[in-house]
Amino acid sequence: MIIISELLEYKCPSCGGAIEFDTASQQMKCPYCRTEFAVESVKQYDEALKQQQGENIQWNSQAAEFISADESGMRSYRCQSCGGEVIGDETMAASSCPYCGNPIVVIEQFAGMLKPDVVIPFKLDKEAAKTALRNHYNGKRLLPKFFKSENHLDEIRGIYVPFGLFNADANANIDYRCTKVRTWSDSRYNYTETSYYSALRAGSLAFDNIPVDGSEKMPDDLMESIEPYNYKDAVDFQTAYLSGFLADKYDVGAEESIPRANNRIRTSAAEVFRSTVTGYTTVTPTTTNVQTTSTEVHYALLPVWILNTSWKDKKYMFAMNGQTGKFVGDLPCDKGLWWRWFGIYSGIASVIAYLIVHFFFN
Amino acid sequence: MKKLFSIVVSLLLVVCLVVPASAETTGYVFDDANVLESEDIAELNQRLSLISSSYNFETYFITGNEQDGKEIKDHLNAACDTYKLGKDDTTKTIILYLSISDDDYMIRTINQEDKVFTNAGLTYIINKIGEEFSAKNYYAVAWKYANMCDGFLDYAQREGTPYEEDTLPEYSAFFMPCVGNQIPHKRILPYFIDEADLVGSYSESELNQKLEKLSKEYQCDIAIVTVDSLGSRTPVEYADDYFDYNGFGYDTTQDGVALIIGMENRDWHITTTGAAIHTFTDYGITYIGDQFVSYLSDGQYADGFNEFADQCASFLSYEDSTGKVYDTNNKVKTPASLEDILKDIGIALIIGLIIGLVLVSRLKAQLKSVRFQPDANNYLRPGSMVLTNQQDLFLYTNVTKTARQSESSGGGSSTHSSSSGSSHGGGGGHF
Repeated sequence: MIIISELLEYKCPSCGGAIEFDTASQQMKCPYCRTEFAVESVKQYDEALKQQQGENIQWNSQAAEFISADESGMRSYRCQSCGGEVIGDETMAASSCPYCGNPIVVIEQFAGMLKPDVVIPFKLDKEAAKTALRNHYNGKRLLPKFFKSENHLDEIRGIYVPFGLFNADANANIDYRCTKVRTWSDSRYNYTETSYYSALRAGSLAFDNIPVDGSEKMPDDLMESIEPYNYKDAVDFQTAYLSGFLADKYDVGAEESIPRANNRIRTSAAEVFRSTVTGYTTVTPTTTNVQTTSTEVHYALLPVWILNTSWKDKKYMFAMNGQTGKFVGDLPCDKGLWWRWFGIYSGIASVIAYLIVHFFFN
Repeated sequence: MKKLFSIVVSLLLVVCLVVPASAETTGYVFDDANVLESEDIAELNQRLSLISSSYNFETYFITGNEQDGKEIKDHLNAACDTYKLGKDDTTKTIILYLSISDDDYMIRTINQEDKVFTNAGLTYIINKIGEEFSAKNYYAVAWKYANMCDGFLDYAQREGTPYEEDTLPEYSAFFMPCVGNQIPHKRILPYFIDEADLVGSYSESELNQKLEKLSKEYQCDIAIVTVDSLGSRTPVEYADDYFDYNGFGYDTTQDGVALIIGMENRDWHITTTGAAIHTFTDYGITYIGDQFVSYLSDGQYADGFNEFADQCASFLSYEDSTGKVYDTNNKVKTPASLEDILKDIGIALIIGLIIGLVLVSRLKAQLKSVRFQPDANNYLRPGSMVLTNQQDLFLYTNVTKTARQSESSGGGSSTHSSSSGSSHGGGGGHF
């Protein structure tokens, strides 16, 4: 086991307090003295500190695959009711489970986790998440009236969700059955001429960084909904970025993730090649053959704000892309409102339909 | 010389006196009572002349108005003497004599060894022209007489035996001529004839009066005839021939519409002539048919015929007042029945509900934002798409054709020629 002592706890070069990563400035910011430092600087300072203290740093960049715990560093939190695990530092008072909202009880030994290659740091802060939640309610006519005012914001948590980013090459070989239809008439007959064609398309496509949710507990559809992330902001992983936030464990292996990536690749490939078949009246794929080969996998931690609210004894989970601000989450539907709007729309449409039928077909 | 000259002149005078005297005799028609127009006489003469020559049986029609108090028999004898009828032993002759002064008429046959006209037959003929005689419609009397003679002679020739008491047919057997295709220029039959006995006598006279009134009002003959069998004719032929050979077609305009009912195959057919062809388009005929045929199917014939008459009147009245006719592009407007209104409401409701459902579903969809991403388009490496094989192969071609419904989009009236050569429109069906 390789021990890396540069964990989540960094000291502010200025005042010595526990410095955290600030999303707004994309820098390390000390909550005590408000001084900002570049991540690199803090790291170097920390290294210097460590060297001063005479600890040995063993850093094997090539095999730097694991982060393992030091007693003074990370904590692993496990939820009793849903089994979800998060990792946080000592400063993170993870009081409730981000997945199911129940209080976390057990603090376990941190057993280590896969070291990510890159991380996209948080760009937006908690306030931004709260504002986005409020905006999310706007314009939704069927939202129950009191949801907005009565729903209880239980917890807002910034979590780095682990993703596998897959590069893949796809080779496609697709057959299509196509038709061209021509119609004309003379005084006695209507004619329809249908010409049948067979179209073949074969080729290759390449994909980069298809994200697949690496956390079993984190709902995959929720994660896919806040795509895309802009990888331009991805930086080499530094544990410094994690402070002040929770991180999720990788518990979905690459083999498990690949089928999901493949599905998406397949759909994209079918679409792209279908768009090359032009000039026909109808096009129907008859045989679709897409072979994918994974070329590379990178591991990334991507920033997500998770918000849990409850209303009328139901729990609702919202997510916001910590980088782009895209906000998603299913809202409840007020049945009464649904019927009211159905009635209004149907009523107006019926009246118009009756007028049209009456005046144009009689 | 003077003597010879005077003898020649006297002879010439005698000849001149005799010859003009016979100018009143035009072959087979002798209208001494002057009850017929010269046009009528010429026409009848043509008819009787054809009958006489076709069957080798002289057929005569004589009217007289002798006021000398003698009996009709004597008057007839006098006429026969005057016109030298039946003076030999071989010429088969039949004479119908109308005595206007006696208000009576009689028929005499001469030299018919193999009887064509039995006593029963003659009585039959006498009966069939009674009404027309009472109504002083001598033109119709003459024509009906001619048609019956034609029919009797034809039957005797075909069957080799005359009509007897038990074989005498309905008058409908004499609707059409057996020889020739001459059209009487005036109507010879009533507007409503019910040979098939579908309505009671009260309804019969009512309908007759109604049709007569309407025909005069719109200057277009509207006629109805019902028969048991159409014989060898199709409904179209029968309707056209009935109309033509019985002189229908209003007096001055020659317009007319007639409905025939053939009970044997439950046929109905409407025929039109003259301006009525334009008034009653194919669409119009179908529409009128829809209105009255259900009555016929239910056995309510009087109601059906009344409906037919009313519809014809309504069509004619519409054309008179607006100058337009009902056709596919100008359909008859019926006030919307409750059924129609309910149907419209029903359709509108269904459409409204579907649209409402679509719109409210869109609102509901606003609430849902969590879904799997089906594709990886965002992660497609730009420019990485390489097409290594692109083939488009032609397989085969298939052409299908469907017949166009040209009739329904047309409109207007389809016409055809009848056996007499006149142009008719109309349509029909079954009930």
